[in-house]
Amino acid sequence: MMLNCHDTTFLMSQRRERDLSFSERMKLRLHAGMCRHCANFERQLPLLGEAAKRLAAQEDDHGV
Amino acid sequence: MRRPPQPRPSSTPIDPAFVARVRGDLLRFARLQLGSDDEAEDAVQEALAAALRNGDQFRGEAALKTWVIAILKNKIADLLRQRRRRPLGASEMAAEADGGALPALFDERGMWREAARPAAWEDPEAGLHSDQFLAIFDACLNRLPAQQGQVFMMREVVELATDEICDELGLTSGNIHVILHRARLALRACLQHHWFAEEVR
Repeated sequence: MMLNCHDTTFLMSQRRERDLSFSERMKLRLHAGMCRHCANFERQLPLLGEAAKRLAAQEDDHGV
Repeated sequence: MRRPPQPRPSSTPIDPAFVARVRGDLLRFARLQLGSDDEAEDAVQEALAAALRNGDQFRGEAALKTWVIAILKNKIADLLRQRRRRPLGASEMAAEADGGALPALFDERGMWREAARPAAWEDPEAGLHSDQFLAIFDACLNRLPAQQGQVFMMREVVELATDEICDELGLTSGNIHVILHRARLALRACLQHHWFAEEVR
């Protein structure tokens, strides 16, 4: 069964915390292969973590 | 380990302006982790007091600030641990995590609403080197519900594993996955709206 965008992005998010099962990966790829919005979401996810780290680092040495 | 109480006349006195400046940064940091203004105030106050007691051992404000942050992080960890032992905390906090409704970004079939669709971002990496981008990201972070911001920071900055966050906050891994998904959806949408959309114009 095809995943919707909500469930697809939920799996993409969880992938940063846990390994997905084979069937989860297949469903995710199937959806992302056809939905460029979800594909964009997936590409942008790591940037959020990266930005949070930069911000924390900046706060550590800000005001010095 | 105690040092002999020696007067250290050579060290620089701590500048009150420095304390005021640092205080704001610390408060924001504590508020994100604790989700409560009062507790954040108290933690920052205690951390500053503790740091300034030995402040004259530090050469320079940079070292002192690093020291205050280290003390504050310990205080926050203690507070979070205490909270976990308090029985009502868990149900309070889980409330947000198990709301079954779809986030408003999706329609009733779980598809992106038109206005919420993730667009391709032009040169996203460049943003990471821009203070302006980080300021917007900071504002987006502060707009998250307190718990979402807290869990997101614990995961992405402190780099705790899901089960460590569960232990810390008394939530299930299912809760954490839902909270992180919501936080990421909201942050992404906020950035698209306030940074990448502006850029296109």
